[in-house]
Amino acid sequence: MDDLESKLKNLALKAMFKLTDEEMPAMIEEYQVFMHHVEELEAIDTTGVEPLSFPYEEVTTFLREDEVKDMIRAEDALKNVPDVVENQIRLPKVVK
Amino acid sequence: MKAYTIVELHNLFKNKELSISEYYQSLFVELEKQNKRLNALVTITKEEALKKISNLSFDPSNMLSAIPVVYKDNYSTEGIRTTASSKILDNYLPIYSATAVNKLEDNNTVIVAKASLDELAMGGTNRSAYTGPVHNPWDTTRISGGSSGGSAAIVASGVVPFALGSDTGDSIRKPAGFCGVVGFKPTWGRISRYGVIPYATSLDHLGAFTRTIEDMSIVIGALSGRDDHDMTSSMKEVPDYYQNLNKDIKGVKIAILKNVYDEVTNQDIIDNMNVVIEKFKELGAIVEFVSMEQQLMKAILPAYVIIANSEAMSNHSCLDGIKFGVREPGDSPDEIMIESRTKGFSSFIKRRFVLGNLALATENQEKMFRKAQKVRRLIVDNLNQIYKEYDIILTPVSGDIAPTLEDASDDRLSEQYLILENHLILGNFAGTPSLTLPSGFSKHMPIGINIMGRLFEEQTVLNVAYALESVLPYRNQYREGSED
Amino acid sequence: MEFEVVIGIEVHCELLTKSKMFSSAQVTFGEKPNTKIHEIDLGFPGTMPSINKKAVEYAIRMCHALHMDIDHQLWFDRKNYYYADLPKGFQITQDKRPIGCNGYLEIDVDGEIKKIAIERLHLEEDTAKQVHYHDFTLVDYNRAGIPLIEIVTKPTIKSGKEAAAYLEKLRSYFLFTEISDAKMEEGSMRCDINISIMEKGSSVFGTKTEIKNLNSISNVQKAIDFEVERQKQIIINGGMVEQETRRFNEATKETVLMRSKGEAADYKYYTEPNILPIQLDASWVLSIKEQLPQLPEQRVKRYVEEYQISKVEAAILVSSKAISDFYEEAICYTKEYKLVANWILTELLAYINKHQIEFKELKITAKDLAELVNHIVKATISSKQAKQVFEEMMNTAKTVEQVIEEKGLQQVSDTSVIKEIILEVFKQQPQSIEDYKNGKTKAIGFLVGQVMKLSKGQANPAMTNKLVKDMLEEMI
Repeated sequence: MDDLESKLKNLALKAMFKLTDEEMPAMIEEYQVFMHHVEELEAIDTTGVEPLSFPYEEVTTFLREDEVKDMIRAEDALKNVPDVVENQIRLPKVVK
Repeated sequence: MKAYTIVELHNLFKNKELSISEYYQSLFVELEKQNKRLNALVTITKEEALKKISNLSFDPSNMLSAIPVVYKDNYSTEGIRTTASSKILDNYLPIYSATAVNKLEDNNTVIVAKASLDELAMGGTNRSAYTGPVHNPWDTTRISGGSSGGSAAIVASGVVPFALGSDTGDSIRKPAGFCGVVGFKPTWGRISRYGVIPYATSLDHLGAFTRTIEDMSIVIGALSGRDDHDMTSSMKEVPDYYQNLNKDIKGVKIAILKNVYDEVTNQDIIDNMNVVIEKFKELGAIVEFVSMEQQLMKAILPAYVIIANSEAMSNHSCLDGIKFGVREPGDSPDEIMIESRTKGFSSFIKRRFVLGNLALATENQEKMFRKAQKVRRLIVDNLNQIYKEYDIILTPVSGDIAPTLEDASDDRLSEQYLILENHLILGNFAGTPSLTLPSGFSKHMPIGINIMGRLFEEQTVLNVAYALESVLPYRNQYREGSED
Repeated sequence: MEFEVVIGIEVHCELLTKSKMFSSAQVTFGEKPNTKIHEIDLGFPGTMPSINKKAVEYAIRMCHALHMDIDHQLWFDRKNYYYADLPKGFQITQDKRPIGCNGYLEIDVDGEIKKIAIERLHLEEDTAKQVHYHDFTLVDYNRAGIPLIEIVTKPTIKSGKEAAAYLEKLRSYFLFTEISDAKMEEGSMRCDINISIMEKGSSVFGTKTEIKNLNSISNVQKAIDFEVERQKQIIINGGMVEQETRRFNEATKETVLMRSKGEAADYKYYTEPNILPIQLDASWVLSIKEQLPQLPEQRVKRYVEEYQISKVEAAILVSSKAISDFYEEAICYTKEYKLVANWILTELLAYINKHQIEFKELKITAKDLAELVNHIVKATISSKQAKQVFEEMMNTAKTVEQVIEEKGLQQVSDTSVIKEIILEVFKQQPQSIEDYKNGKTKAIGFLVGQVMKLSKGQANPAMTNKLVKDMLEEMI
């Protein structure tokens, strides 16, 4: 269990958030149901079957012409940012 | 306040029998009232609406001119708060509008509110919204369903004629059934998704709630069409769905999915299905039972959970508190991201993301994500076999009425009602146009049936629904709540 | 112990399209921060990519230049990771189906031709830019979304010298196909080196290290040379090379540890669901090949074989696309292939160097130079006069004709006119005629000089010489 807990907590961290200890029981339960789903699919023979990445496979030909338009202003882009300096987003320095 | 359809409202405005400004004055009073009862809305945009009305010149040739619209709160609306019912976007002001929004704006509609949804559209009960659960207008102790619960409920209350929603695993069609309104999700690629906050891209569809098929055909007609911003949007011409509505469905071949039908235990729903079958036969349609491979039907939920959680996790990687969203402090960009996401997402969402991360991890991808995608192909191929012979697939929307708030479980991750409560996902897997029509009642709660057609055959789906609607007494039904 | 060096190079190159890879925001360099942006490149929720046709065209151009197999269906993938300069939390790239694969580039190292095998070429987008200050970082999204192509070699490069030759050649290809300005110092061309060593004859590859953030081709060579030695020393001393990412310290000329490979990031690549596969029109792909500007080595071959230019001179002519294009244009207007090449390589380049100007600032056109050369050959003016005319043309942008007329430099080649001048000189110099009669052939030179003086240098020297001789003979 400890191993599984730390594996799941690690997965969370890799997705850039933390799970608390209180959240673990529900997480483990869902994990188990999830792995059961994986098992169920394993039982289905998919030899020679390609993955379906879209609801249907349609090949398109459209490519956008290389023209400049629709740019947004810095003020608009940065409207949702709490800390702006010299027209840029300010962040604490990346720890190297 | 009377519940007007789009067509009725349009005629009232056109004939000057109703003043637009007076209508909107009472609309906002009613909207507040309904929202207190149902908790269906995140933001009411009274100021913006009144401003638009003061500048609006009514266009009698446009069915949507001056008609109010409610958007599910995952539709980006420029300058108007868009939260996707998640804490992390609680303060987010989009700097652009979704194409769907722009299209309706161009049709002179008036935005009146943003509707609540399950957080990030990832749910089926609308209990996970940051603003709290949404109540069913027919019985406020029950859920509206989700994830487009707010949109479904507000239309079902009668106060507005239509609302937009999104459907990734049944999120329009099921709440429509629970709330007794029409819910339609056209073919994937029929309506541009540009600007709508995604859940799982290869499963996401946009659509609407109305109370009549006529209204639905008008709305879908206005939304559909190619958008170069969305490279998955179809180049196919958009028919005039409204003008082409036709009740004559003689010879239309309807297939009932036995795998679903056989699972129903609720007698009201069984009886209702049989009534519907009879009505279709009376209308001249051919109705027969068909089966899909049971093993594949059982695989719908597992495959969905794996694909949806994986794609969702990747899609929401941009929610990091850096460019937008609620930012938590940190000593480094990484810390800011981690803190913002930890505090901004509910536990419910975080669990989904963990599982998505698991399935996409390179070491697991082949046996989890890609396996699910392969099974998806098998399921879709199996479904398309039916369409070789039949025009429409018919099923009950659900095996039961809307559950109470206590009973409602958002765990699709549970095993119960595997096929019955998840079969609508077929429409997301295959991208096929799928419509819910109210067809009856069980224990005073609405129930509905689902009509699903071939790719891009929206007109057939609408016509079949139109025909059935005309022989049932549920057209334009709503529940204001003053009766309670 | 004898070692074999195994090097693979990854090059990223920013494309000179007008708009970005997935949005219509402008591609620029050095503009005010966050002024050339679009909601798509900032990763605002709900945005979707729209693929730039020109970027695809440029990638195809390069694929053709590198003799690659081109995938006629475009598929894109997501590369998922979290970083402050990655707005969407993923980069849209091509993992499983790169647009080009199995190509090669020929390099010349010390006279030996070697084919460097190229594994793949694919399209992707650039990240935002972070500028670091003492305790904070500023993020600028102008660069986010700029189209990139990434070119990966097979690990068949064997030395710093080969690497440098490869990069020089590749760079010239970027310039000659006009898809990029490929300036390493500005970051529009970047390269990462993967390098390992192994015992000669062994089939087991050594641990490889990665060298990044190299800002010039010469630094690439120096870094590789250092790293090879460093790794050799480790092995010789019985140690093990660690898997690391290193950078190059220009001052000390050493590679320095940046970070240990440790836990490599898992990018969880999967097919981008917002982009349906795009079928490329086969005739369009072919037309791009047909319209490909001739690459340096093809031009050298042509210059040497068809125009009899020497190999050395040809190499200089193609050292820059601007010079080569100038030459190509000039030979449209003159058949004096060697002479005009010579003028470019000597007079033109000397002028440019002296006045420190760029090719595009030249006031003289290729056509002008060609006409100048034509005039020299026609003997309208002498070589000496030509230099004057050239100088004037370079300074004023006037045509050859204009300058010749203004300065009255028209060389006289009319025999009767010259004869008249000669007769005049004979009249003025009776002593010289006497000297000639007395066998002093030096008198010819003197008389010719006088004719030149009298004609203000415009008399055709060769003709004058002959006529003076002839006329002197007649007098005897």
